[in-house]
Amino acid sequence: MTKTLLWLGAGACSGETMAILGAEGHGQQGVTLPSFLENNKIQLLWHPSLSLESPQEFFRIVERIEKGEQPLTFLCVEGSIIHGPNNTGLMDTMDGIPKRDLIRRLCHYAAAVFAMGTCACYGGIPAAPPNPSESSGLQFTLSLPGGLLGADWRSRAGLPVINVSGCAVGASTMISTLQWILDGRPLELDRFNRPLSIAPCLSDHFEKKCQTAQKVGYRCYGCTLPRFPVNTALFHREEMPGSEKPINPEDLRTFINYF
Amino acid sequence: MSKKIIQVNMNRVEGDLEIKLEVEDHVVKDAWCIGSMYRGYEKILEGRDPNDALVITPRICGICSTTHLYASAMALESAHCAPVAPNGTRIRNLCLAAESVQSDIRHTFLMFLPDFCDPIYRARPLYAEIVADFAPTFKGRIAKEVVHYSKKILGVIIAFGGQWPHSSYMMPGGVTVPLIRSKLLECNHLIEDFIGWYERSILGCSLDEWLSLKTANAFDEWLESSAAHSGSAVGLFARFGRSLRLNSLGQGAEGLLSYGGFPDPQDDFPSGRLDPAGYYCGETRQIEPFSHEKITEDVSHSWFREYEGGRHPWESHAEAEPSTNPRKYTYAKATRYDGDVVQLGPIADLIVARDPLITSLFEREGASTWLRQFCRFHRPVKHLRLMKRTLSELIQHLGEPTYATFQPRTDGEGVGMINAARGSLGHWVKIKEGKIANYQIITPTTWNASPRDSAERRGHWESSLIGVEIKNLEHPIELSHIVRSHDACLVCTVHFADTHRTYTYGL
Repeated sequence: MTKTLLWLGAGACSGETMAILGAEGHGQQGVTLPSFLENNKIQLLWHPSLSLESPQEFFRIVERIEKGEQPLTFLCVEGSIIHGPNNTGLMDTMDGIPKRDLIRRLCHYAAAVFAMGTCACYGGIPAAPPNPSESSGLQFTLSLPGGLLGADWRSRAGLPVINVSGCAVGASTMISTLQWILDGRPLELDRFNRPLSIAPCLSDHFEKKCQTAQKVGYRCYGCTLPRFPVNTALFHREEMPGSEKPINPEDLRTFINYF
Repeated sequence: MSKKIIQVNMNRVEGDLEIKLEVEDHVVKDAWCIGSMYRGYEKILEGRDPNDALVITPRICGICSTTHLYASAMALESAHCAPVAPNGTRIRNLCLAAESVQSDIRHTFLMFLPDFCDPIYRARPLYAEIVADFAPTFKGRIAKEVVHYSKKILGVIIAFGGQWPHSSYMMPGGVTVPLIRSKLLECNHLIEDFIGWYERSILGCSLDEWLSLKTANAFDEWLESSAAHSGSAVGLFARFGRSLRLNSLGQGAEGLLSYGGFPDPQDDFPSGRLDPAGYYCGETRQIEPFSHEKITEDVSHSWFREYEGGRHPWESHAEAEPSTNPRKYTYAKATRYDGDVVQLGPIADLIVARDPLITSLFEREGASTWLRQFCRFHRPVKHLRLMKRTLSELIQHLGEPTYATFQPRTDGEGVGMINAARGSLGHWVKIKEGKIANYQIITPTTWNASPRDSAERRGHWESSLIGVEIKNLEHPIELSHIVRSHDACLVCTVHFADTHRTYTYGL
């Protein structure tokens, strides 16, 4: 059976779309969405920025998914889930339908759901005070479990939403996570459902930083954190990298044989 | 005589865009542009440390985050009256140019040209060549190359910013990163590689030969003079686009506004620009000096608490307010310059910069859809040249610092204005007692997608659609070309929201 991938943007800046198209640099050679799709023979059902099919045709794809005529393997969501104004969801719509309702419906049919970027994971920048759009993540609101789907929600393959956090999260982290699940390998998630097996900075209190900021002269401001952007002055010029703390093994959970 | 209101939802624009049209006998009589997402960045910035703008504003947009970073650094410098190290300006310009090149090619080849591959055109001459080169999604030969090479040019930004999108390597005074010889050599290699591809696949000639074309006639002759030219990406675009009559559609607003691009590194407090600022007035056909004080925002057709006339961003505290007044239809404000409706974008930037080729084509056929997209083939050539020049300046000035120190102020007003890939971007900041008291952002898309104002004049996109004949109302491909040529960035238009009403106007 052909594996399929559907990508949706909600309260988004398109950062993850731009990132997954690839950027040449340390560790990024050859890893892009087009090459991932081709190498694994995955059909891209729709992507808002890249597909030829119009939104009208996209709705027909949604209809086929909901009727069971079109299998949905991977659902990738970027951007925060917008609930405003007054929990109507009308601050982010597609053809009059609140994006959050569309996403909630599609999550039901997906074998696995990936929150791509901190906004989709936890709410991110739109959720910073005063959270004018009433944003949340897919399965968390900042560090509180819940979000759009509720803490107990699991996908058809038995997974919670996999929180590939970062702002923007890099192509290799996103692709590696997709590949990991595709290959059926055991995946360790921390208590914020970030895939620790994939990248060192996807960890609680960012014990192992990606070092990107330090290499160019400013302090890491924790873009993978559930509470990013935190409520203190964010920007500090800095030249030396910080020290590392070990990960607590009790914070890990493992999902095996979900495919 | 049949009048219809049709709604067209568009993808392959950054974000989501919905357009309502009144169509009579297949001709567009009226148009309303509606964005459909609101995040509220200006509210989020209020009360924060001023340098937080360096972290938060790039996240407005994933495709032009460097431009927002640049504008925020400039706005803060303006508020602090801070100088900028010349090497800081050079590195900023190098990265901004790289982002612009990436944006132009991804827009042209991944968003605009897929519409040329629409099956509705299959009977046309050149269709087979078009599909072979440009077929979505990532199937056409050049579409694949664009993914590869847009990655490469972003390597220039990664060298200084560590990641793209979203880095905070620009700060008031310059950049955070020191200058290292090996970085410059790496950038040179990436740029040379990119230029080689652009000359081979996109232009079909060298950058030098391309820049020697200074008139519309010279371009026409060049196009026909060899198969390498007519069969290149720009050649195929030019010929197929003209066969679709795109050079007679989609002109929009007559006024062209540019805040200027690339601050001059020689200035400590750069007011000089390598690409000058200016306003091309449609009535007089003259380029006038630009003054940001002439920018106003009008809320007569917008869901904000009503105020008289237009207000400058420094005076803006617009409170969103839903209303049952049928005159109001969007959360966008009507942004105007000196009371005129204007368009921003590559045509405006190049005309104000007095680019000879674009000026000649503009005089012949106006600000058409064809010319707008043609600018995105032409402009990277100039940006690549600028990047090479800036690199050699950086090599010459290797020992010098990349940032300047200054005493930050606790109170001040500042503005940062810079040309982004989609047109001019402005950030206006007020700092009080060391915190952000007010932060207003006007993106180029906000200008272009603006609604009617108090004088009932439509915004640029709305007016670009009037009079267009739509052959098939179920498949309005003409709209696709015109709207996509505008290169909308809806994720940047922070004020927008949609309320899903059906509009019936004066039947």
